[in-house]
Amino acid sequence: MATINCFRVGKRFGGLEVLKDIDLVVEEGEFLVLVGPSGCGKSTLLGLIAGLEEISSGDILISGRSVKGIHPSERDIAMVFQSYALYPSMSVGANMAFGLEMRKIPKEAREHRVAEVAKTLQIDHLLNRRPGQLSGGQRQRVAMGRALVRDPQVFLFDEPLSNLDAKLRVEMRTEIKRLHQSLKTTMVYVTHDQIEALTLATRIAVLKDGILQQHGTPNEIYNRPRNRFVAQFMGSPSMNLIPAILRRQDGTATAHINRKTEQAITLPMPPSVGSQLADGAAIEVGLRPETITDVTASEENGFVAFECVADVVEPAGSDTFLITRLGDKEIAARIRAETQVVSGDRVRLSIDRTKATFFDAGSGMRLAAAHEV
Amino acid sequence: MTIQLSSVNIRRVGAASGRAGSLVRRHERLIARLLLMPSLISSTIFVYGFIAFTLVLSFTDSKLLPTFNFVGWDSYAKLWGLNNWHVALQNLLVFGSLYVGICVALGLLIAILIDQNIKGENIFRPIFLYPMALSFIVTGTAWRWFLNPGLGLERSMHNLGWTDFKFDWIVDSHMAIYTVVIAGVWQSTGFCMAMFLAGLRSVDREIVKAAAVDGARGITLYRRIIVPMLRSTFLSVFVIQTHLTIKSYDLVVSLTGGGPGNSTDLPATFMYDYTFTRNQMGVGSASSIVMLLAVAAVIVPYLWAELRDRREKGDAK
Amino acid sequence: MTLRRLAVYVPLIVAALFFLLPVFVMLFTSFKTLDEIRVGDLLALPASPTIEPWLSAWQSACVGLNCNGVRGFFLNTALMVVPAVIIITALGAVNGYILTQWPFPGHKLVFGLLLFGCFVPFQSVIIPMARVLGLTGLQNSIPGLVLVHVVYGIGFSTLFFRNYYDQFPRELVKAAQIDGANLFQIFWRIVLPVSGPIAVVCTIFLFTNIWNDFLFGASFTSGSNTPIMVALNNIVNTSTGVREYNVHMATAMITALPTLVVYIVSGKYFVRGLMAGSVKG
Repeated sequence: MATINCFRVGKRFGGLEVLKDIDLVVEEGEFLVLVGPSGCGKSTLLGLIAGLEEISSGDILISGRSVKGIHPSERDIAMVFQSYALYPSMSVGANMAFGLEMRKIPKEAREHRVAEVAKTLQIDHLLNRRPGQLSGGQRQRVAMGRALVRDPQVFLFDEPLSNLDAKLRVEMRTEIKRLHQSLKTTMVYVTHDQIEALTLATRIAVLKDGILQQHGTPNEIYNRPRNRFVAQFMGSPSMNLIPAILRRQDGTATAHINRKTEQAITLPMPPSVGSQLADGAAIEVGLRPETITDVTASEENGFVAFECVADVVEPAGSDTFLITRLGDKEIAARIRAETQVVSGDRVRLSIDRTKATFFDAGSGMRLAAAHEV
Repeated sequence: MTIQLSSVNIRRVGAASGRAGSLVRRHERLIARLLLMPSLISSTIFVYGFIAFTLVLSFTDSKLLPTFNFVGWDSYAKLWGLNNWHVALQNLLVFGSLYVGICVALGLLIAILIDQNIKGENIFRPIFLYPMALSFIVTGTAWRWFLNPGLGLERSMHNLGWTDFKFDWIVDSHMAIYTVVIAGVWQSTGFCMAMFLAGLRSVDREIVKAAAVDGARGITLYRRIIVPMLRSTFLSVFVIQTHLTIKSYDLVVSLTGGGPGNSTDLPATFMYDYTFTRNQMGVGSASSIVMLLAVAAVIVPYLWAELRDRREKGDAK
Repeated sequence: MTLRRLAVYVPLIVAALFFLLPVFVMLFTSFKTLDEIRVGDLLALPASPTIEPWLSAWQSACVGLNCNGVRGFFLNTALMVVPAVIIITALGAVNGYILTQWPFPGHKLVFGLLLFGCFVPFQSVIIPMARVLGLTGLQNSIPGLVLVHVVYGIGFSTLFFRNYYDQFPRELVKAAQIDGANLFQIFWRIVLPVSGPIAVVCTIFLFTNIWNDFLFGASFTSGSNTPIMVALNNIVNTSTGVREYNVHMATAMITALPTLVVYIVSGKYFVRGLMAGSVKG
C-alpha cells in the first residue's frame, strides 16, 4: 500500500501544455478516480504516475519516494489498460506470469500465484487459451489478473471498462469495487464516465483542459461542485443552470428567476451565500433534475412550486423525465413514474430549495456558504 | 470475491532484482535509435550520398570514368540537344500514357466483372495476376517469341486461313513501342485489378444499399457511386505505375533491345547506353538526374500525404 | 444463362485467354523440336514432345562462349537471393519495431527517407555504386550483389513491418514495460512471435523482386557470375549459330519457375505484398 503525492505536476508535448500544476494527494488505500472529458489530461496524468511518460515539471512521490527517472517496472505499480494490452502470442497463464518472470520469481512460485489469482477471478479454466480466443469480458478479467498477480503497491486503471457492453460494464464495476474493498490497495482509475467515477471512488479528481477543477469525495463533488463545469459534468442528466438575479433585502437573500409569460420564481438563499455579491448581481441557480419534481400538496413544505408546460415527456421506467423551460433555458425535471403527463400538459412542479446551488454568472464559481469558506 | 495474499511474497523478491538488470532499460531510448543506425547510415550513403555523387557528375564532362572537371550545365544542354534523348522522352510519353491508361482501365473493368459474384473467381483472379510473379525479362522473351513475324502469331493466323493477317510491329520502327505497351499491359494489369478489387470490396456496403434504394443500378451504380469512392485506389495505382514507367528498363531490353534502331529507347536505356557504352558519363548522369526528378515529383507528394494521413489518424486519441 | 451473365463471363474468358496464351505458347515451344517450330504452328501442341530443350537449357546452352546451361546461374541467383532476403527482412523487422513502438521526434522523416530509397530510379545511383563495388573488391561477385539488394531493399521491408506493427496497440509495449521487460525482451517475447504473417509477405515480395532483378545483375556482374535473368537475356540474344527458340523458351521457363511456384503455393501472401508495396496498408 502506498500514498501518491503530486506536486505542481506539469506536462507539455512540444508547445502544448496538457497538464498544469496539478497538486493531488492520494492517501493509503484510497480509490482515486480521475474524471473529465476527452483531452482533459487524465490519461496523461496516469501515464506520469506509471512512468510511461516523462514529467515536464513538478514531482510525483510514491510512498514518499520521488519517482522521477524511475522506470515503470521499478515503481511497484500494476496497470490495466483500455485495450487490455494482452500479449497476443502468449497464453493467458503466460500473460499473467510475465511480470513475475521478468522479476526472476521462480517458476513454481509464479505458477502458484497465477493459479491463485486465476481462481479468484474465475478464469482458471482459461489459463491455456490465447487472448485471441477470449471474449471481451474474459480479456478484461485476464488484464485484471495480470495486474493482481504482481501484488503491487498501487493499481492503475486506464478506462478499463470502456470496451465492454453496458451490462458487463456494470458487473465489472461492482467487481472492481469489491476488489478494492478486500485488497485495500491504493488505486487510481481513469474514466470519462461520471457514473463510474461516483460509484467507484473514495475520492474524485475532476480535470478539464489540464487543470484540476475539484478534488473531493463523491458526495462533495456531486453536492458541492466548485464550479459550473464540475456541476454540469457530474450527474446525468446534467444539472440545470438557470440564470437569476440576486436580491438582498433586510438581511435575507433570494434568487429571482424571471420568466417570460409565467410568474417569476423566487428562491430563498442561505443568507451567507454569496455575501461578496451586491444586490442585483447576475447569478445562476443550479438545480439537479431530481430536485425539480412533482410533490403532493402535503409535502410541499420546503419546496417552491411553479407551473409550466411540458415540452417533452421521457419515461425512463423508474422515473419520468420532463423537459420544459424555465428562465429562458431548457431544463429537465424528474417526476414520479406514476404521474400521467403528456406533451403540452400544464403541470405543477416543485423545487427542493435546500438542494439548490448558486453560481456567480461571471466567474462560474459556486457561491459557498460562510461556514464552507 | 476476496483476494488472500499468497504466502510467497512476490513484491520483495521482485524489488530486489529491479535495479540490477536495468542497464538496457535506462538507456532504452538511446538503444532504440542506435538500432536504426545501420539502415539509416546505409541509406544516407547508398541512396542520398550516391545521388549527390551522380548530381555532381552531371555537372562535369566525365567520359569513361568520373572526372571532376566542372562544366556547369553543359551536360544538360548536350542532353537536350541529342535527338536520341528526345526519342526516348517521346517513347516514354507514348509508352507511359498507354501503359498506365490501359492497365488502369482494363484492371478496373476486370475487377468490376470479378466483383459480380461470379463463379470461379478463384480461377480467374490468379490467371490475371500471375504475370506479376514473372520477371520483365521472361515477359519480354515470351512476347518476343509470340510476336515473331515469321514464326509467331502471324503464321498461326495464316494457318487458320487468315492469310492477309500481318503483325510485324516488333520489327517496325514506328510500331515497335506499341509492342512494349502490349507486353507491359500483360504483365501489370493484374496488379491494377488486385488493387481495384480490394478497393471495391472495401466500399461500405450500406452506401451501396442506400444507392440501390435510391434507384441506382448496374452501370449507373458503378459510374456514379462506387467508382468515385475508389479515388485513393486510383491515386495509388497511378502513382505506382507512373513511377515504374519512368524506371522501365528490363522490358525494353528483353523485348526489343531498344530497337529497331533506337526506336524503342526509353530514358533508362538511354542512360545506360550513354554511360556504359558510349562513355559519356556526364550526359548519362544528367539523364539519370532528370529521371530522378520525374520520379520524385510523383512519389514525394504521395509519400508525404500518406505519412501525414497516418499521423492524423494515430494522434486522434 | 442470362444475357447479363454472358456480358460478365465472355469478357472475363477472353481476358483470361490473353493472359494465359503467351505462357502456354512458351510451354509448348519448349517441348518442340526445332524442325517442328520451323514448319509448325505456334499455337499447336507439340506433335512429338521432347525434353531435349529443357536438358539443353539446364546443362549445355551457350551463354556467350560458355556452354554449360543455366544451372550455374540458377545457383548464383539462389546464393544471392537467400542471404539478401534474410538480411533485409531482419533489418525491416527491427526498423518497423523501433519506428512504431519506440517513436522519437522525427521518426516519420526517418521512415520517409528509408522508404524513398526503394523508389529512386537506380540509374541515379548506379555509377557511384559501380565505383564503390570496384574499390571494395566486391565487383562481379555475389556478395556485392547481396549488398546492393540489401541497401535498396530496406525501404520495402521497413514499410511492411512498420505498417504491420502500427496496428498493435501502443499499450502493449507500455504493459510490457510495467511488467519489467526491456526493449529486446519486448521484441523477442511479444512482438516477434506474432510477426509470422508479415515476415512471410515480406519474404515472398523480396524473393520475387530480387530473383527477377536484371538491372543490378547486368550492371555489376558479368561472365559466369551473373544472376539468372542476365543469363536468360544473354542466351536469347546470343547471335552466333542457329536460334534455338525451344531452348530459349525452356530457359525462360526454368528462370520463371521459382517465382511461379512461390506464387502458386502462397498466392495470398504474394498479393498482400504487392498491395502493401503501394504504401497503403
